Amino acid sequence: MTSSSNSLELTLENRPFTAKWCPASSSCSNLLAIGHDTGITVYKATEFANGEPSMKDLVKLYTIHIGLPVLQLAFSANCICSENEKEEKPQQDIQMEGLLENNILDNYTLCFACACEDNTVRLIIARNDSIITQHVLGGKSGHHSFVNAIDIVDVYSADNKLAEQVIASVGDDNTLIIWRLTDNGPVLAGYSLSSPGISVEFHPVNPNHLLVGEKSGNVRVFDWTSPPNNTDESMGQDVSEQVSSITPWLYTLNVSQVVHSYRNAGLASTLANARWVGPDGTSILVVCKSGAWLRWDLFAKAGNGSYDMEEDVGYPQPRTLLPDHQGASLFPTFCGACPHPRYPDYFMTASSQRQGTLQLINVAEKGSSPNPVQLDGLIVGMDWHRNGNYVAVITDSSLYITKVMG
Amino acid sequence: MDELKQAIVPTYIQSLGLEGSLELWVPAHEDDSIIEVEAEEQNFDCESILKSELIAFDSGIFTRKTNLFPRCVHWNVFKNQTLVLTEVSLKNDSSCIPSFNIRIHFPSQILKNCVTFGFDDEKNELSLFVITSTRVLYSIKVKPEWFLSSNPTVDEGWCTCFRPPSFLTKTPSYSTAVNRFSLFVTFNSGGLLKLNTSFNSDEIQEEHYHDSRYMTSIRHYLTLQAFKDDYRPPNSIVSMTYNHRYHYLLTMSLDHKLKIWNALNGVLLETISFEPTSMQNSNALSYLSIDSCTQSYVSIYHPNETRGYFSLYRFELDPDDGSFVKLSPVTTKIAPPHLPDDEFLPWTLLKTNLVCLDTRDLHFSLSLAWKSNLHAVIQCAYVVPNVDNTARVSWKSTKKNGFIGFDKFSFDIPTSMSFGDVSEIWVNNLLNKKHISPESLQLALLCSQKVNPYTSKSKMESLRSTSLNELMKEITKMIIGSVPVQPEFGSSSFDYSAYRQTLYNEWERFAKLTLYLDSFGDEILNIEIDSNSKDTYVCYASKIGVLRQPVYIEYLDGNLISNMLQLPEMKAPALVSGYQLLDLGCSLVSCLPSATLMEIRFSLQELTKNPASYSVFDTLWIFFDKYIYPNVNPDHLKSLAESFASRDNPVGDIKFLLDYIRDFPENSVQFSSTPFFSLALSNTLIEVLEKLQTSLEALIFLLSIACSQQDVQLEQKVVGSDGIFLELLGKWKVVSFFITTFNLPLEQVDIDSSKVGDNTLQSNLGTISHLNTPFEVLTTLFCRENALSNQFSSIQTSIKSFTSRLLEDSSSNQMVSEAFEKLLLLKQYNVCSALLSWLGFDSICQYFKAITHLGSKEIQKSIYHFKHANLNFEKVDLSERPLLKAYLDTAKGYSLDSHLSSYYLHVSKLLSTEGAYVDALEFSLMADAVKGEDENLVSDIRIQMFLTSCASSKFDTAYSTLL
Repeated sequence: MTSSSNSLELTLENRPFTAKWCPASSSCSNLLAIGHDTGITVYKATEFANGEPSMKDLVKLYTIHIGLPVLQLAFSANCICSENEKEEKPQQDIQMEGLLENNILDNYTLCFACACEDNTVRLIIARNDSIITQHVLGGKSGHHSFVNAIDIVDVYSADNKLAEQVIASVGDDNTLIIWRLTDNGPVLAGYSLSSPGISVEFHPVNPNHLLVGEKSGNVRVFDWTSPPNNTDESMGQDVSEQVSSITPWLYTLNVSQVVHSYRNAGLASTLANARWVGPDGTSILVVCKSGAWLRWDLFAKAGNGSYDMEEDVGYPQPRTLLPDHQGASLFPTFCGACPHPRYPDYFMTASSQRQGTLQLINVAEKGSSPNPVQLDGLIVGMDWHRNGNYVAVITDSSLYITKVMG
Repeated sequence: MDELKQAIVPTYIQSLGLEGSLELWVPAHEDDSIIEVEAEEQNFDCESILKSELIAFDSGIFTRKTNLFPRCVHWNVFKNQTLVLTEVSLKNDSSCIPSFNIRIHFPSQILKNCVTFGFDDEKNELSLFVITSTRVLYSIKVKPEWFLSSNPTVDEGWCTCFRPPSFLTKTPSYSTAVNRFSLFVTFNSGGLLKLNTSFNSDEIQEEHYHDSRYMTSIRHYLTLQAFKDDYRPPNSIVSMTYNHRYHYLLTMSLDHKLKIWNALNGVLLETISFEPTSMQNSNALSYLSIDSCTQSYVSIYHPNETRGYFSLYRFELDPDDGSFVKLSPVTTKIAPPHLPDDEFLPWTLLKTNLVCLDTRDLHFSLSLAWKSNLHAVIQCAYVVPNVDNTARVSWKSTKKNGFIGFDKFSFDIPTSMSFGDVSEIWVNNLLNKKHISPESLQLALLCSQKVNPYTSKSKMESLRSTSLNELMKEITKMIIGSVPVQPEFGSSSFDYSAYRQTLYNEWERFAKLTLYLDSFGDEILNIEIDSNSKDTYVCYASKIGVLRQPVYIEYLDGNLISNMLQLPEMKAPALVSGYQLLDLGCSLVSCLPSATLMEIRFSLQELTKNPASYSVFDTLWIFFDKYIYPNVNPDHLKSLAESFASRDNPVGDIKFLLDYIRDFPENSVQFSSTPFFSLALSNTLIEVLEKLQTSLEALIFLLSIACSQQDVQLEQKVVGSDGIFLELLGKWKVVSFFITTFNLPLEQVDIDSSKVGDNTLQSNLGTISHLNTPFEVLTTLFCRENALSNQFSSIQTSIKSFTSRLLEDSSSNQMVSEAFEKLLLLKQYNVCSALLSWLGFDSICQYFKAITHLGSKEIQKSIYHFKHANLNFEKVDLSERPLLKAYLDTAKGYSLDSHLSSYYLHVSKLLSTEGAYVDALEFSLMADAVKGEDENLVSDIRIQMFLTSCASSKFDTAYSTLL
């Protein structure tokens, strides 16, 4: 591991595919999970006294062995950290051991949704490196081709108890699958798409709304809770049924308005990803593989970019579904956009042509930082820490924690 | 069958596969400023733009028999004083691929019927004669390179203008060229003139052709009728045609006298009087037509109170000196059949064309173009004369309204996204209708944008260079931008349901406007037969059509059963029953809502993708239960089941029908086509394939009904349904695959022609570079012509051979993977990415999937497929696979027991070229693990390991390799 004042580089043992910071608050917020060749490895960044993570020491906690490459990963917010009474070690020993494994002071109960190489979607609840529960969605009921994106949301009941966990996944089989894990058993719903699904994300505030990005450039918002015509809930743990909903689709945003001079017409509107932007999800950011990006501020108030219904007269204003902002990054990208968690106007993107090049784009200025960040190796994934100062970037062999803002 | 169809191509640059236009301005004649031209009010509203810029008012095709380029030139005259020339040969005989059309701008309006071509085949020179409203004659030397090059040479003397003395007092009405330097001109007020120009000179000589004495002419003018403004002397020439072979000029005058002139010396050879009749409702230019093939026969039209009749004559020549003797009748009184609604619609005969198909057995083809307002009907007669001057005549004709009606556009607002949302479906619908002129779309866009009239003309010009896909994006942006989403009453959300309905309505309005504007381009202007290929071109105001015979699967329109039973071959009971079953199935398809039909197609595609996990009968039952039963009236279902059960062997009838539709032409070969041919073929083939798809679906639905009824009688009749269902599903798969390629855009990729490795692809690369969609490319590569010596390439033969190949028993997966491979050779990775789900699961298909993902930079997915491909050239025949040629050549150089190792080495090299060094190293390590004793292979693996480990910074591995 090498570190400087603004970045830390760690050579990984296993080939990484995805990296996610834990979204939970408090003690789990500095956990970083990396999906790789054989499972998921969890790292922890040490903290300053004010709770800010320090990237000088990144401790490898443990590896959850699944036995398959984990290609996509989504952290559930339902993660718990509890103190481990048995394993107490002197502070100086901890500092000396550094990155050594089994340096665990606390017990972590983490919940992941992951997509594996065998096209299965799995819900894994692990306590440290042991898998407590693993639900596998696959076979005839699952995706028949590569799973490209996955997300998970926890749904709470009125008395603030966890009612169900909902996983959404999209794949090359042109299918969106919603997997609801309830106390009564799993319920599946599959929906057909017009082209392979590339990205999927639950709304940060209203988990009923799901943002689905398709490879053809269409981005759809979907209300998976709208009552289907012939829902059939299965009682068994392993039984799952596919049902069709009547009109779950709310609206479609089309990236075909991107006027491109890009020579490769097919790449121009091929989607890289689509993300909700802002802590309240007031905007939608879409990035194409050509580097072109568009943003719709559907629920943003004019001016400060955030909508507060209570402050306003009461209702959203009529508007068209044309993008409010659009531009182009310096280079094509396959990773898509990684929106800043606190500043909605900023997002990060990685080049697919110039290996290791990161670019921070300011939507309001329709341009990018003049000096892209340069790392070593082909970037395969990245994720902002929730404080918005650091971004975890994985290449085909290394992990970088880089300070980009702040 | 008595119906004719057309392959339609809009006369828009990109629709014709052209790169651009050569713009030429003719020099103004010195007297142009003297002549007062009525200043036209410069209106720039959309309608005036349409009429002046986009809709031609005169059109035609010039063809010549030789294989010189240009061989078939389509010309259009616009009210904005522009003449456009486009090369539209169907067959590539000269190896010249036209890339440009020519737009010649004139200072004044071009007169109708005053555009004619003169040629000299020996010197391969072509001249164009144009007469304008200021009575100036322009002679333009057309060079072949103008159609080929973006920067051609335009000589200084490329255009010469003349003002013949006769033009000072009389306005020309019609012209026809004799050769490159001479032409005949007639006048509205009577008279016939031969104009002779000379090479590189401004001088022009006139030769007046007179058929009567001076006093006779004077007497004509001294009648009361002569004082009328529209008076024309009885000897005014109303129709004229030139015989290039024997140098005769035939004229028909107002008094219905046919005169034959010796064009070399001006001598009147013969005058034949026909019975006088009213001619007001016919275009007199249609009266005469000389056989374009042999130039030895002429057809003469005789109008009467109904549709008139035709007679054919032969030029009888003196066997000793070849001089003209007389016109001998071959056959008389060929009466055209009824025209649609001719009790109410006044039809005008616009043009006739005669061609002799066989000089020995004397067969003719006579084509007629009828026009009524914006309706058009083409009738074609196959004429076999008898000895007694009668003839056996069989007629075929096109339908009155041959173009798409608006009812084909509507659809239910989708509830699943398997085929997209409202805007996506509308865009596909508009793009699918390839005979809608893109200019209509452009103009509709301007109208909808309410562009300022003063800027609309310049905006139109800027839109002219826009591709169709870009145009659709502009249109989508405009429509989405015009429909706001309203907040939902009493909610903090938007009313999306109402929004989608409003969006649909807006698209519908736009589509109707487009169709309305496009309908002005449906006016028929001319027909012409290519004397070489015998293809009949139809010139519309904004489109070109090529006539063709329908293929069997198209006999579903109109009065199906009665049409079927007229054919001799339809006497086979099994075939009649098969068509009746097909008709029943099609009636079922028409019952289903469009949204359900889309879901069914998605479901059928899923069935083709995944290995069957249920029995076929269970699959059919699930299909019936999920899609058919909830959406069809039970009584209708019952009647369908009963009809099925009433036949002796319905499954056998369906098989017989499929064999009949297949009808493979045995002698067919591949050939090099022109872009125009490819575009015309693809525009018509998509319609055929959609009909075929509907037919296959209809039969599948029928089978699902029959197999799902608990009826003892039916159970016996459905024996064998499982096999026929799988066969239908396989054919449906390959048909749907090709239909899917229709709306995908082609990427601009540089192809090294020397490395293509596929002969068909290599020979058609010139044509392919002008095409816009994968469908056009694939149909070009798969089209074949009938190899019989007297059967030339035709769109019909290609359609038949293509559809027959689709329906061959074992070819469905083979054809799909072959088409896929061709797209990969053209590096169309995005297109292939969209078509991946149609590929099978065998090792070659896995390899193709891997290459597709690799080209799309999806490395992990490509690795997955590479691992599953595991090509072994000993077990799988790879010799016919151009894409694998490089691998095969290398692998065969190693020993036979190391095929796996050589395969991994090959994959490692592929991954290295894409920069995936870590994965390339992994494969080279895998190759190393299973290598045999072949020293060459060992050495190559070690080199690859070293290179990839260095590139991926695995220096310890690189060091180990060196050791």
